[in-house]
Amino acid sequence: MNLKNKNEFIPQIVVLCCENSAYRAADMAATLGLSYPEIIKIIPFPCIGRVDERHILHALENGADGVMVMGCLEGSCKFLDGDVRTKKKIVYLKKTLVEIGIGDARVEFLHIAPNMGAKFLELVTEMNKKIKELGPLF
Amino acid sequence: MPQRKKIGIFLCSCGDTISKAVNFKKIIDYFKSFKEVKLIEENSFLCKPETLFNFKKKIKDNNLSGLIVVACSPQLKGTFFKKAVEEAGLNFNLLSLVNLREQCAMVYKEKESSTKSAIDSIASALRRIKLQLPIASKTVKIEQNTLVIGGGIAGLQTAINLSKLGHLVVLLERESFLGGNININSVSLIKYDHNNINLKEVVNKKIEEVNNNSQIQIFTQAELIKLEGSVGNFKATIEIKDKDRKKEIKNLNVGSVVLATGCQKFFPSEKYGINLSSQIISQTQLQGLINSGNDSFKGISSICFVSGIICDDQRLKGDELLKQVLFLTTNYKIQIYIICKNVYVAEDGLEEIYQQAREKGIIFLKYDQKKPEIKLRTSTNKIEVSLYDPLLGKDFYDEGKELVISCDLLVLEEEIIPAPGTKKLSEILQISCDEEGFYQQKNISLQPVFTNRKGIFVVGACRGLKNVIQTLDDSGMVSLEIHNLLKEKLVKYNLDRAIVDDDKCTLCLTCLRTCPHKAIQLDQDEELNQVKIKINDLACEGCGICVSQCPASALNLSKYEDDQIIAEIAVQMT
Repeated sequence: MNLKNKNEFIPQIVVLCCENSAYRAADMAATLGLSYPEIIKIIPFPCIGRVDERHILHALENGADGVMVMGCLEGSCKFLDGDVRTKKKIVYLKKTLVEIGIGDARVEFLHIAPNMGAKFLELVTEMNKKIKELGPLF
Repeated sequence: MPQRKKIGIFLCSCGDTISKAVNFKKIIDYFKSFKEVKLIEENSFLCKPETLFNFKKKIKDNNLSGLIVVACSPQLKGTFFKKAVEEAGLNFNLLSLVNLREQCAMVYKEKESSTKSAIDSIASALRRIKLQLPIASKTVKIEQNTLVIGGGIAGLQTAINLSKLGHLVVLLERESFLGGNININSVSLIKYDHNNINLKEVVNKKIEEVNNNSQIQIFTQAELIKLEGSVGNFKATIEIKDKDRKKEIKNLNVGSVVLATGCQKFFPSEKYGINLSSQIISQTQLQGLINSGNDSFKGISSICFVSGIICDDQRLKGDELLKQVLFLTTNYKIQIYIICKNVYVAEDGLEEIYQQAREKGIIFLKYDQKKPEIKLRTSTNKIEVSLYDPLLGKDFYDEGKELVISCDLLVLEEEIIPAPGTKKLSEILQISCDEEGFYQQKNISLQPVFTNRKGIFVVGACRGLKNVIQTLDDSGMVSLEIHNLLKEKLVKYNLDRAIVDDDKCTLCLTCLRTCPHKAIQLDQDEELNQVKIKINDLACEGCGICVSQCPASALNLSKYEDDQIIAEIAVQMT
């Protein structure tokens, strides 16, 4: 178990991105010359509907302190309802996480469009701040 | 045990954009020690022709079986590198791109953290490339003809466009004549131009053109009753009625389907709480009176129009209304009142018509939240409309005054709804409808003429309110999309779509219900005499929704397998 001091705790955040929106938003953030507060790990998906609860649990198991699942804006999924389906999965997963004592704040589903580079950074910063307050998961 | 891959890592410094933010020396030193890494080197611009030539040469010379290109975003150069790798004789799936420029070098302030992030990403790509297998491609034969449903202006124009592009077209029309809404009194439902072009003549010309075209086969009094298969190989069953009302069933093989079923006008008496009579008429009836000639407006000195009661969206109807009232004032000298919520002039030339109407003495009255009340006064045989005009001010009403317009004839606007049979057809074709019953587009701004099923397109007013110019634009768009899809007899595609493992499949049919593109069907295997799930590779778009929903994990997406995703996450975390 890694017991770090709260001051030097660097949150490990995994961002599961839809290639049609969030991944492009991350690229856009770089093009705009913005920079992230800490290291984030971006994992691309063909559609956010491909995300399985297991992927999120694996990330938490392997040392992630927070998982962000980022899909398209409501109603603009290229594959019609990928975001809606995953949103449902996250709601279910949060219940399970509360039951096992992890709490529901570490996993978040967020909507984003490919041209929202600044918003991407804002969401990442917000999550980073939240996880920093919560402290390390294990 | 599979043979160990020989992996080459190519780092691109992108001038100095990447190399100044990331310590390349440290990365090279770290990965040199890996057994499977046969080659690791730095290039300045990997996308330059000379460097690309060397890149291809090195792949061949070193006999590499796996590649990692560490450069810019795959969104920018993904297809470019894939093509280069294919040219070097390697399968495109044996290439992994690491997005070092956008998602690492440009976004971290400190060199140390960006180098750490770069090492993590390359390590996870290395882990993932070991799990990636070559993806084969397949060639299938497709049908190049198109079935167009609806013989209105949208269907006619699409058929003409497609025949010009060299496709065979089958045109279905439910009625016994072509032309659609043009044959009804509601000619003004369709706006063509602000110049006085006779729309009927334009449509008649198109009908003639279609009739004389040998590439277009026309079936009137015909309906689609069944559609099987998927894009490129649809099997359509149509029912044709002949003169004696005898039914004939015909089977057709078509490559794509175009829906151009259009819209209709409908007077919702229930919503208004009013029935139509000789003094209360709908806009279509008014158009009929205008068309029938001079005597129809005898003894009428004032007409009142009420609009906006049942729906706010009057983009098209506003245009129609203004044209009708202008015609009436100019030719019959009738006093006209228009009672509406707002006058919509957001279209080319509408502002001008509105100005003209004001100059001719037409009175526009505004109402707000409170709906106008309509009464028939039998003593004077006039209709009275009382309304609350917010522009008159509160004082006017506080004094006990009332604003009442009395007129000889009251015209109410109608609702525009999808043509009859739209819902039935959507069930046959398994495509979705929106709240108002129109066919739903795939993406309202990016893919307006697509539906959720590949190979089925929507044109014109059956996908929402459209005027003629927009409809003609639509048919042009659809024709090009279909030409793009069906221009060649043989289509080559990569097998990187969803794959079903028949041994694991329990036939719960979850995938069949969740697939947004209806690419999954049940198939009868006659040899084994059992039913199994079949995924149509051409119709599948590779979103992976079915893969994550499958409770038995029987489905897989070869580029995004669970193992690969989990490995990538695990390595990134260390």
